[in-house]
Amino acid sequence: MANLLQEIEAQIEGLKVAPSRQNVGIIREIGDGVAKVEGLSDAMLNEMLDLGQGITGLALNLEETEVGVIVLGDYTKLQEGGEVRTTGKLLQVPVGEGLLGRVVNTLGEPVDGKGPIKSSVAYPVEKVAPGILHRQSVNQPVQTGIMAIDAMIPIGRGQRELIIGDRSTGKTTICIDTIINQAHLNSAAEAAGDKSYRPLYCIYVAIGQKQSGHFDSRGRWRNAVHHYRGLHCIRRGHRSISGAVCRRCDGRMVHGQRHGRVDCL
Amino acid sequence: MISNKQVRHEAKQLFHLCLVNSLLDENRVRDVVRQVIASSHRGSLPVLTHFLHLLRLHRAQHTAKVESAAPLSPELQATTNASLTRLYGFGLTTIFSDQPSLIGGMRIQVGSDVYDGSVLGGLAALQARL
Repeated sequence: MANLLQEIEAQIEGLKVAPSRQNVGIIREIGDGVAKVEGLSDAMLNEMLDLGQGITGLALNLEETEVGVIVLGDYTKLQEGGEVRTTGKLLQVPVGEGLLGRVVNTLGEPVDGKGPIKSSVAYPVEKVAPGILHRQSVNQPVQTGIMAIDAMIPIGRGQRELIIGDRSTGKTTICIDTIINQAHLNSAAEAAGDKSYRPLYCIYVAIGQKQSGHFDSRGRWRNAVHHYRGLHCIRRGHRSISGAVCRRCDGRMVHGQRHGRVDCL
Repeated sequence: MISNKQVRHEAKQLFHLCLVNSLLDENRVRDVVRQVIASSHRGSLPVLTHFLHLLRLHRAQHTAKVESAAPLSPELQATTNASLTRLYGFGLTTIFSDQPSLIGGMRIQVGSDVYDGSVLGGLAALQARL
């Protein structure tokens, strides 16, 4: 006990209190997930803003006297007159193997009830992708598991493939089948102890979909599900796929799918 | 009908007319408002409303609100004022007020910049960290 008191006394003696500098603004208008914030003279483009109530916003429209903010959360909890603070961080999400098998929201926060994501590294969403010269050439196919596609229009690892079609014509089914096939191939290679096989992990990006529909295709396949609430996140959805592709530098392969009228492999 | 963009543009132009050496000239402001009202231009109301908004923002940017848990001595007030003037330049109006809820320390707000050295702010930061 005496040691503890001495430790605390020493810490208090060495304590230097410096005033914190913050940049604050006031919410002037809010509606439909978009807020107009007055002030915030130091806000950066794509900076994460603390809107209070544990809600984060994204500074997108920087004007002379106000900032247009996209609310990444429940905007009904916010009111006009509320304080907004800058965080000094650009929009970033946790990355790494801890993300596999998890369902996360726009900010990379888990929504599957499995506890916090074990990741110490965060990557900015708006990261410049590696140049084309730095990438490995395409030399290995992606087995979609659909014979007609694999035979006629093979897809290479590292390529991007767009699937365009009318509603209910099976765009999503192709992507889901591909994800399932990768899971089977990964499991088979792991069971056989094939060390030369490079596993292909899948990331499912759901934009404007109900949350309840996306909890079946996760977990045991070691894929990740990104869930985006609104159409305003479409660009971010694409970026997250690009970001995931950027992470393949260490030898892993990634396949992404965007759920909506247009899918991509 | 005058567009929003035009309203903002005209209000901004009027506002710039009222600046002398980056400081607001109150007589010019009065003149501008009087002339706009006298012109009876159909877009004068929204223009004046936005002009007022710009004036409010300008005043907020050039006003330092200093809150302290206990009343500050005149020497400390002068030191604070000098430090703020050094940081933000001349033309800064400093308002001192007592705020016992801060528990201790001082909180200064200039425009959207907040310098919080109060015990209340420290406790709030600690709570956010934990």
